[in-house]
Amino acid sequence: MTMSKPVAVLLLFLAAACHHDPPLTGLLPASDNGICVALGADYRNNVGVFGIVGLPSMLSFVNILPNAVQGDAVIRHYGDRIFVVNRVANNVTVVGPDDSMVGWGVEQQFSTGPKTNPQDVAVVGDKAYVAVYGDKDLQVWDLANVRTAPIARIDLSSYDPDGNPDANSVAVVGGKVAVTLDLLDWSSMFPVPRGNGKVVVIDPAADAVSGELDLSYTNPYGFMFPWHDGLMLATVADYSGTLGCLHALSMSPLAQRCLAQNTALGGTVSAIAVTDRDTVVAVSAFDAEFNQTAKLRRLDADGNLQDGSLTPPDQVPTDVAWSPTGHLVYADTKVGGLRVYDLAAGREITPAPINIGLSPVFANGIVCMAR
Amino acid sequence: MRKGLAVLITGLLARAASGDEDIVTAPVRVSDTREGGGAEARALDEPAFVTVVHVDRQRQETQSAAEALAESVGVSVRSLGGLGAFASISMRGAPAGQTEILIDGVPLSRFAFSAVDVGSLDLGTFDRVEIFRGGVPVEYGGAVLGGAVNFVTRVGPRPDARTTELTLGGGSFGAFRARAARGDAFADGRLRTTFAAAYARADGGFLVFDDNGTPLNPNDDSTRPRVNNGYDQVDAVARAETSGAIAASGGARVSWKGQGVPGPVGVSAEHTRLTTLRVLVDARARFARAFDAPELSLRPRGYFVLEAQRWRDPDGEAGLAPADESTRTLAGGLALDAAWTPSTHHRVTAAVEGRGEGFAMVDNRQMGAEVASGTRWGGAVSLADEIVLGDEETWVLVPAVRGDLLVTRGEATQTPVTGPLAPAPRDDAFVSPRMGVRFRALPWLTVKGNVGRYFRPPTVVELFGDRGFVAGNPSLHPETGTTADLGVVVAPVASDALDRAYLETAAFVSFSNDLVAFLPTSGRFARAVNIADARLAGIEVAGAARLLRRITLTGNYTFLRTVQSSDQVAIDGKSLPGRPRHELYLRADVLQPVAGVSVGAFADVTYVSGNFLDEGNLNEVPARLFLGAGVKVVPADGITVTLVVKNLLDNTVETVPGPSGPIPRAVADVLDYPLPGRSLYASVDLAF
Repeated sequence: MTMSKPVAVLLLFLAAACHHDPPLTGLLPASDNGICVALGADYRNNVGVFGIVGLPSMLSFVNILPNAVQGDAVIRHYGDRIFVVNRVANNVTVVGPDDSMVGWGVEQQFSTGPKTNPQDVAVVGDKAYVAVYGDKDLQVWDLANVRTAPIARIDLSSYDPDGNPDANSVAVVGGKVAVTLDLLDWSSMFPVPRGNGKVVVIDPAADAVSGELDLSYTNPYGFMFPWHDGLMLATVADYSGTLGCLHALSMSPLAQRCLAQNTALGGTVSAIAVTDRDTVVAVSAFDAEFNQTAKLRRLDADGNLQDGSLTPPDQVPTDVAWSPTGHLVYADTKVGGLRVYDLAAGREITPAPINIGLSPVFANGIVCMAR
Repeated sequence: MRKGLAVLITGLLARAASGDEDIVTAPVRVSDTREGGGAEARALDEPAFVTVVHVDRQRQETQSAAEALAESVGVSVRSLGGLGAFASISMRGAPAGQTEILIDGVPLSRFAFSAVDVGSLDLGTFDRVEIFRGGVPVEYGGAVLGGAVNFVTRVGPRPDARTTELTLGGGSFGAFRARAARGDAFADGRLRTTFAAAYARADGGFLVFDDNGTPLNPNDDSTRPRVNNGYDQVDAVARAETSGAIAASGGARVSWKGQGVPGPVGVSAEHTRLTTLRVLVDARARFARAFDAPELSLRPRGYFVLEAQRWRDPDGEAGLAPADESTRTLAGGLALDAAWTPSTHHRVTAAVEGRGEGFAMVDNRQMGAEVASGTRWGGAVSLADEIVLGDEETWVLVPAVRGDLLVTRGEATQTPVTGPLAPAPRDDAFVSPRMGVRFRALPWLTVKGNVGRYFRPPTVVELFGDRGFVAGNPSLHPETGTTADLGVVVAPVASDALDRAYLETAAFVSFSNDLVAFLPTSGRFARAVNIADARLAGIEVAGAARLLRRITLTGNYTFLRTVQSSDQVAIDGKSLPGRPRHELYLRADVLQPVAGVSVGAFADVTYVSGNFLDEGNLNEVPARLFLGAGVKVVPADGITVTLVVKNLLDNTVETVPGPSGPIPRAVADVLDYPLPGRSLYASVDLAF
């Protein structure tokens, strides 16, 4: 379903001549009422790609924003803006709607600083909160007036003896900003958690810490997502699947509970997709020779783990996002492409893996929205 | 893929403006009567496609082994930028890990890491480099899917009988080099010795375009000097050889190098360091008339290689975490060849080899705790038949077969990620048959072809991981493949005006299976997997001509097409990254006495077509053109002064597509490590 460049250009011109629709109609059929952005990566050569998939057509376009994505990136969307966090390149790239034929353009790109290793971004009004792995501070940027430095830095060094708390994910819920801290000891070749992970709550009005909470396991690795009135996040612990769980976090009062243990999930959660009815998680496991298997598993609206897998065993889904069109779009890393699952039909509807130009990033590389 | 300064050698012809004869080496030497003669005669005789780069003649111009190789037909070099930087080579489009690198016939270990850093080899103590593109001799092993490159030390006096050489040079970006070499002959030349030592350094502080990691934000762009990009290197070698009924040779080579690893532009690393110590010791002998049988000769040989490296990244600038790791690789081997020559037109060679390799990696931040280790024992037998047919030696046939058995053992991989993993013994057997054919159609025209099946065994890190961010894959398949080539060599009889002429062209094809690549998993670590098959095909053309004994024109062109086949939909059908379709190198030399002083000048041009940085063929590097020039003056006998300019156009910034128009980017081969701009080097060479 990937369109060749000449055909895409032709469609762009035809669409531009015939329509004045919302953004991206020049690329996708008018019947598509959903659109997903997926990042692909060639980690070895530090090259990334920004691809889109229309739903329900499943038509895809690759590399529509050349050089906006580097080889190790993750993505968020807030409102009509998309935020690409280029982790190795130490930048955040803000993509917004524009009048171009593509319909999206790069609004701004700012560096979080050398060796900062940004991991995630959350937005409150015009302020962007950037969690970085390589520095002690949570950075606060003014999106309305981006300069060369953040407008504020929230010092989190006191949470880790080495002064760097390894901030991983940041999310906004109930007007508060929550940040996960990995609290890793980097003195060996592979970082080891010093103890259970932590969630720190920031009051965006004061840009100061207003609360903190210890998680029940180590390694809160991956993105947090809003769920009910709180957040959902996963701890991978030692990746063995014998420790860690899928956590539900409530903000008032600040508390956490495990919705499903990793032992019950059958592995560790690499991605979370909260739908309008339930939640789907991508669960990965490794055998004794490090061969990876993965599956999509479902939790009901109350967070109860459901039996079975949405995906067959010959697929390796490591990333998943929910589209308001009623589809799940997920990355099958075994074939390096995207697949689409129709929630209403209860089955995968992709005739073949969708090529987005490069293999999809392993987690947190897909966002979907209504069109 | 950048190519810098020229060397005169192109393809099988090495043709210096001085008029020296060049040597074409090849695996087939059936009889003494067939040896000798000029380069053309050798090229016309041998089935193999071999390029010999005489670095001793180009030492003043060529600053690194990588540059010398880059200017050869069929060879691409990807460098991390500047003198002394890491560089890997790709021959006929093959992945870097598929090329065997040898020093004086001793294979450097590829047990821990598949690709050898040719940037670690300084040319100061070498005489020539032999590049086997097709038709690799069985003695160079079976792991030669991408060919083989042999760096050779000269033993004894220079061809002009001078015994002592001194070199002093320097140039841009803090470059400095000094070299002393002594080659003697004793007992009427039956004993020859060489002692050489070289030192080279550079600070690598060339100006680079820095986008601050934000290629789409021009407001924070700058131009600044590269930092932590320098190196110091010391090489020393001693060799001796004897000739006669019992010919023997042997020697020792020690090299040490300390270098900064500056990181990609925009994500600079200021404190990362890599130090490398390499020690080689080898000895070989040739017993003619073994057991009093005039047709039988024996050739035992043995070698030992130590390579120790220390990688320090105290601030985690280049990697995911701070690191201080030491690796040590030991390798040793013994071999015995028996050659039976029943006639001047027939020789059979049988060989048996044994090789052992050990690797250990320790984490210096954990009190030297061993984090990865492994051993590999290998045995091989080979049989080669060299047959000459026809009264006029019309045909040469070289069928050969080699069998390798590799026994690999690794320590249990244990990471905080997945816990302990049981040791996984790994045994591999490979058979690598090969065949070379040469047909002399006319006295000045031959047709040659080679076909062979080769392999590249998985490394110990690929198989067993490093207990850090790399997990092992004991089930990894070896890379295997079949290569073939067919070509023509034309060397017409010289005339007064055109006293030297040579043309070689070859078509080649390679089918590689189970290419290995490290891919990340969702578990925060990477793992080697068999990711794709690849088909490679191309055409090489190399030629040279000398007019009126004054003007020498050399050049080569390589056309290459690669296609991957993979279950990964984004890769399937795409070209291998970093493989330009067209590479062209041209050079003109003029030699003219001026007021009794020999003066030579040259200019060269390198063109590399656009190619892709990534597996999905989305990020394209624009075509590049590099110019160079130089002057060489011989004010007195034995004194040579050379001045060379590289990258004359100061090509350091290129434009690539952005979302709303072209954007600038530093010229780089790989991973945003920028290449240097215009640079000037000068040297004085004394020989007496």
